[in-house]
Amino acid sequence: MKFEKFANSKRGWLRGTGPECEIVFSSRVRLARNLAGHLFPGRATTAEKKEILSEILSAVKSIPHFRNCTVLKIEELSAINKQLLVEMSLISRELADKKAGSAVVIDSKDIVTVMINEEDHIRMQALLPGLRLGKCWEIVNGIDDRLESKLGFAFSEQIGYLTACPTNVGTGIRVSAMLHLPGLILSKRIDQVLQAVAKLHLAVRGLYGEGTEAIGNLFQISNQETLGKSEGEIISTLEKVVMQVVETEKDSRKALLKTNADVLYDKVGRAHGILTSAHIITSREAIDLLSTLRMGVDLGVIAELDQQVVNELLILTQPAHLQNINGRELDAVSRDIERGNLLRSRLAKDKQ
Amino acid sequence: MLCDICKEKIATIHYTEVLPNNEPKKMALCEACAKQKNLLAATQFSIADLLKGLTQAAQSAEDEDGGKACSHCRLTFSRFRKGGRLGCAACYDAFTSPMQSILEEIHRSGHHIGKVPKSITKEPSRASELAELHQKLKEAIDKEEFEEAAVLRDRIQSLKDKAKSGKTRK
Repeated sequence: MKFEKFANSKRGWLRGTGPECEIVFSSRVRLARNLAGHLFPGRATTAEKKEILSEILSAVKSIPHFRNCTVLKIEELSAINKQLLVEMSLISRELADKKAGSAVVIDSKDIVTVMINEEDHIRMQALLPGLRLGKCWEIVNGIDDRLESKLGFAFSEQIGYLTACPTNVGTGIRVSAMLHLPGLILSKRIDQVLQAVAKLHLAVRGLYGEGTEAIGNLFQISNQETLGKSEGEIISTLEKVVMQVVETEKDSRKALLKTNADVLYDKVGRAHGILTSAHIITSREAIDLLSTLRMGVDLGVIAELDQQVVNELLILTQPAHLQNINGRELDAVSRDIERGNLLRSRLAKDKQ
Repeated sequence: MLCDICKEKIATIHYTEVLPNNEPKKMALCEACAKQKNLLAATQFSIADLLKGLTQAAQSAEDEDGGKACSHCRLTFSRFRKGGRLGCAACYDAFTSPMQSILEEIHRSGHHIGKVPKSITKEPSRASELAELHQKLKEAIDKEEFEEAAVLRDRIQSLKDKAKSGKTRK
């Protein structure tokens, strides 16, 4: 079946690299669009949603970019497979919860996904490693041009692209970057930075793991306003702010190395020790320790490890990925054990 | 900034709460406390909560328009306020006056700047509007009505700016 082939092949944005990828894990640009003349998904009947879905699917498939794409209908996916896609940031939780009439199209490189009948008829995103917001926009804008020529989008000259939620109206654009900020946390400068970002009308949120707490020192910065500013302006503002945060994080790391090197080495060493020795480890603990380890790798505190290995483990230790690797459903206790096994074997293998 | 509730964890959710006396209060919470307050429905806090906390203008608009329904999809304005989602593109026209203040509140703007679908080529109509404004400007200057002329000049400039940003495609 299609999904098995999809999930088993070596894929995922976390494996790549890009500018500033030590701190900026990923860049994303998402556009919301709706077909003119159809009710929004939340108000449409299942029959209408299916009609919308087939109309959009045939348009998407006719675009050269989507040659060899994967089309996954939500109602045909198991709970674990949906969770896998969420963990890979390829679909939203909201789409995973949808029933008949919703689907996702993923291009052959895992860069562009088109979610159909989520909150809007179309949510298309480009996701790249590192800080590459401009490139993401270029890709998504090109696909939007192609789709627009085949599908009529709901648009008003005064308020732009019309979306189910007024928070997306106008450009329909959401630009975001995921940042890894352990240095700012350790040096207790994070509040000051987050406050400054919030003052610029940008949203900052912690990343969610299995629970709902901000974990792994990971933060997402995104635009909140979609109306009254051009796409270019929104992207360049976010890019500038992200660069400032990146510089502050770099400064913090340098300062920590200079004034608190022992503490830093100890922290990284302990994280490495637990990750390579633990037999039972929760998702939360694993992410926090992998975050510390990743900083250690970035700073050269741990020389023998590769950035990519740590990145991959951040994803592979997530619940659905663990269950996929083991080929069966696992309860929380068994997951913690399998997570320990995976971490020990992967981190030992890399040492050789 | 530490969470306003537990005072321990870092606040990552910032929002404005409307107190029972209608006073807005800025809040900063950590994920855990936000979850406890039910601010995070699954992964995001509800847009409905946000809409409820919007301006008094929108508040009074609701009293007037609460029963008003979109003629296309039959969604009522009060139902929109409850759920935070519109039913169809026509809802924006149906609820145009409260929507304008809601948009101003969310985006600090009520006018789209940026990409325009190629199928909507506004160039001809924009061009004729520009020509008309230029004509009026000339007449105003001839009649030495300089205040009027200044208004016309600004309108021409904003129309030109709009045309420029609308064409920006990268």
